[in-house]
Amino acid sequence: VSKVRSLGRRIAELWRKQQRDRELQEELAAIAEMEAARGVSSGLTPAMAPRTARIRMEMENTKETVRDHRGLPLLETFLQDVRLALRMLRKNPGFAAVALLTVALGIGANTAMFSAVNAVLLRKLPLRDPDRLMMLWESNPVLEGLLSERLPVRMRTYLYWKEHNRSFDDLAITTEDSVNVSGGQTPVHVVRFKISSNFFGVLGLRPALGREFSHDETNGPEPKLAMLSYGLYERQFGKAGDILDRKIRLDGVDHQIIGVLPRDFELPAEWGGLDQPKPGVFTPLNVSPAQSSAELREDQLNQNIHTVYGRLKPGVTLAAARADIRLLESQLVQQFPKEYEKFSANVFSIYDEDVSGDMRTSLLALQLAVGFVLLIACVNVANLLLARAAGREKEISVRLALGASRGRLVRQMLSESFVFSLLGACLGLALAWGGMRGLAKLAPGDVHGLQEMKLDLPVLGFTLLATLVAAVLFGLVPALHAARQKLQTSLHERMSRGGREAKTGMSRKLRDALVVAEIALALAPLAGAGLMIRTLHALNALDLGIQPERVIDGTVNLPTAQYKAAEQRRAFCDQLLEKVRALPQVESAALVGGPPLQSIGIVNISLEGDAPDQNRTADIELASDDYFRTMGSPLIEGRSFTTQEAESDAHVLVISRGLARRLWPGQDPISKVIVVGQKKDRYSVIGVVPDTRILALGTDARQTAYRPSRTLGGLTLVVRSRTSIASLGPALEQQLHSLDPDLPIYRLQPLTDVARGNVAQQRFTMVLLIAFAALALVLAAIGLYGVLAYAVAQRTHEIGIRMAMGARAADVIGMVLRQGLLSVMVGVLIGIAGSLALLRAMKSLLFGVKAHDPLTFAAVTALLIAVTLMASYLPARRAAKVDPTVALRDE
Amino acid sequence: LTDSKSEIWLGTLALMVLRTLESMGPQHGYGIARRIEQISGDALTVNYGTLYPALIKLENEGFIASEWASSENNRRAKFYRLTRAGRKQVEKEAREWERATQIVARFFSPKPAPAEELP
Repeated sequence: VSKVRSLGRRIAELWRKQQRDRELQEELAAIAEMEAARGVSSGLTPAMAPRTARIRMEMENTKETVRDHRGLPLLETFLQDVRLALRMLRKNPGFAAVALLTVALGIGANTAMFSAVNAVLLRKLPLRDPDRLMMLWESNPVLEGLLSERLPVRMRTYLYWKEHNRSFDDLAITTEDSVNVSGGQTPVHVVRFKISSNFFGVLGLRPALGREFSHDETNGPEPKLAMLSYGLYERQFGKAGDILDRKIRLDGVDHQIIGVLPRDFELPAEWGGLDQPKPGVFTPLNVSPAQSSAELREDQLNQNIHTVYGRLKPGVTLAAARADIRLLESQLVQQFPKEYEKFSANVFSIYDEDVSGDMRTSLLALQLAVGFVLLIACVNVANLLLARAAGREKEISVRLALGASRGRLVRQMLSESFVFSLLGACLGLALAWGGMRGLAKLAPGDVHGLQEMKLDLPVLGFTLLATLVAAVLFGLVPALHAARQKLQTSLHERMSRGGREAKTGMSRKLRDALVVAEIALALAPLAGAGLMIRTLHALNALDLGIQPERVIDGTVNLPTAQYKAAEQRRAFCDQLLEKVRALPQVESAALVGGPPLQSIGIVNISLEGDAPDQNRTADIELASDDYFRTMGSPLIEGRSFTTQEAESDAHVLVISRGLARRLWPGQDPISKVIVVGQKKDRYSVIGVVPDTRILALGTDARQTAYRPSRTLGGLTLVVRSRTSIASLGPALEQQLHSLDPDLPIYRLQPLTDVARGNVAQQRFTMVLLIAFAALALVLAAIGLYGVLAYAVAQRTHEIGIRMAMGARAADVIGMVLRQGLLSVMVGVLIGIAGSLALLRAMKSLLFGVKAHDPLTFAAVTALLIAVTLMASYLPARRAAKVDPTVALRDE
Repeated sequence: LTDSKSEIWLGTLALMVLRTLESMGPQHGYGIARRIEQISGDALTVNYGTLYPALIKLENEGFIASEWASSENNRRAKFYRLTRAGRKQVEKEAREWERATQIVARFFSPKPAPAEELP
């Protein structure tokens, strides 16, 4: 207790220091008088006594000791140091500006980047106990890429898992589709989730208004009930108070509203961030397949369109759950050998669903790169401080001579660097704020969290940590260097001015080490940026199989209620095509089953003569006539669909080259037959087109078979314009609404956006890495320039002698350049050795280039040498202009 | 008193100050110094540079309190007095001191025998 009380008093005394000083003065004066009186009584003369008393009392020494024991000497000297540091900054505005800006850039960039890492990788999903929330998938290694790991789940599988698993508290099932909401001013299109009644229970949230679906409502014929997202409640109903008495018209059918979700409700993304479902409305999903007809029941059980969420039981690990579910799946394989051939299952944590592994790698790589930028910034500031310390040697020598301890000097220098760092960090926070806005703009659409970056507590904590680390990094070397000064030599040299500079200031070795460090640190971000540039280049050079320029696409969903009969859908498709093709700016137009480059539909196929257990799949797409011309996929062989074939759903196929090669290697595919689906329809091949690629799913060519049709329920309109596509969107909407005013067209976008969006993650990584590498390069160049300029300034005398002895300007320039180049080469070698290890971790982000790509490393080395030459040219020129007479007279 | 011993000295000095104030009542710095010198039979010389830090430490810990008052020669001086916490502290320190001296004394009381057997 007394310790705490004592500390409190000491802190309180900081504020009444002057008063305490006066009191001490008075108290000691009184005692001095008493001592003097004692002196007189022991025989001193009254004139002598006071002086003797003061000497005996060691008056000044006593005062000083008392001051040290009062208040908080450590804090007081720190504040003193801070004041001193601020004064130094004011006195040297040029130095201050450069040092602070350097620190600000380093810390600002790190803060901005960390806010992205914090928002994406460290964010807590707004669901109860998200660590135990999992998503379950079926999987089939026969399929390629992402699909081999995650396949939508069949109802049969879900029911089996739900009944037999031992790892999950509960499993919920959903299926996503889209519906048109009509009845308002303009029809809108929203994503609908049909859900089992336990869906929100598994996620761990409750509706903000109203209630959830009951067990009975999702175990039988689906009742016309709906729950709304808060957004839809706000937009479509203006937050009406009587919302629970209202109805919402979905695809032309009224649904009673029974609940509204909380405002902050947000589903995690799926497929490693690829798909971010933003459901606007929820309706019941029947999880008890029909009993009335065996055929209908089989159909429902085999529907593979579901997503399954599960909540792990306490204490069950992800690995155990995965093993459990896989065991159940293998039991299904035994029971239904045909339907489940080669199938397995997967469980992923919601966090793995939310952010892809590549995005994690990318963000960590970027954080590392920007960390290197901060290190370079620190080296630069250390450099500046060292150069300045050389100018302060005299001050330091005098202070050492007057009895300042070396520890005290180090403490003062560190306090100074802490002040720099803190001021720089304040400036850096402003930069970070701008940087975060830039990051959000650059962010690929399919990364959850990047739009929600903020300077919150974890980010500010990180900034403070970076500030402290930076202060120690750039402050320690100069501080130790200053304190190591030898008292006599430096005083002696300063006084006599006879000592040579080589001995004072920062030593040549230290200078060279700093340059080497800067170059080595700059190399990794530069090489990383180079590799990403090459990756993007390789990705852009990939043949997408289409010409996306001047093409726009938009999706329309025909509600089954109004367009029940196939003839109705046919008529609609015919009229839509006719109306759109009639527009003057349209070159060609076509319909396709799913949005190009964004949808996949895997179907079982077989060839004539296949063994019964042969398993083949193909991606099958419905397309109208003129599709290939509109997309810019030239026919390689054969012909495209005729209008008549499209109208009659003729049994013909246009297949992509990859599929042709896979099915009939080395043979002519034209007129060959493919048997499609369970109905065993026979289709003959009439043409071959290029493979397309969905870059977001990897770089594999997508092998597709196109079937002609003009009878589409969900359809995407693809239109190639004669000129620009700017005016096309509204015109298309107008044509559509002249057919059916209740139908919205959504995802209306230029095809180039889709193609570019597919490489958005790589582009994001590349742009940021280039920015950080450029920052690193500029800082390293400035640092290099500073060191060389300082070296030249220190060697003026020596250079003067050399020139007096007959060295030519070219020799002097060469000497300076050689010094710079030597350091750079050493730095490059160290940098390459370090980068090779680091860049290997980036491998998964690269395409078409190896992590140790010699071309990239050669280019980076050349760039660094070029920058070194530029940075050393000015100091070299200055050295060459040294006038020997002036340099020598300077003695 | 050298620097390295001052910590130990400060602790002992604090005890002497507390005892002085206990027996003498409120005293100024000069009085405390004289009293300690007197009790020690002038074996100790109290240095103000040592005494004052001890006074400040005790005051900060709340064992003594100070106030301005008139001294014998009618000059304003600062008088230190024992607080209630200080009184308790004296008792506690006295007990501890007694125990410590007793323990140390045991090491010295029987004279080491082998020394006497030496020729």
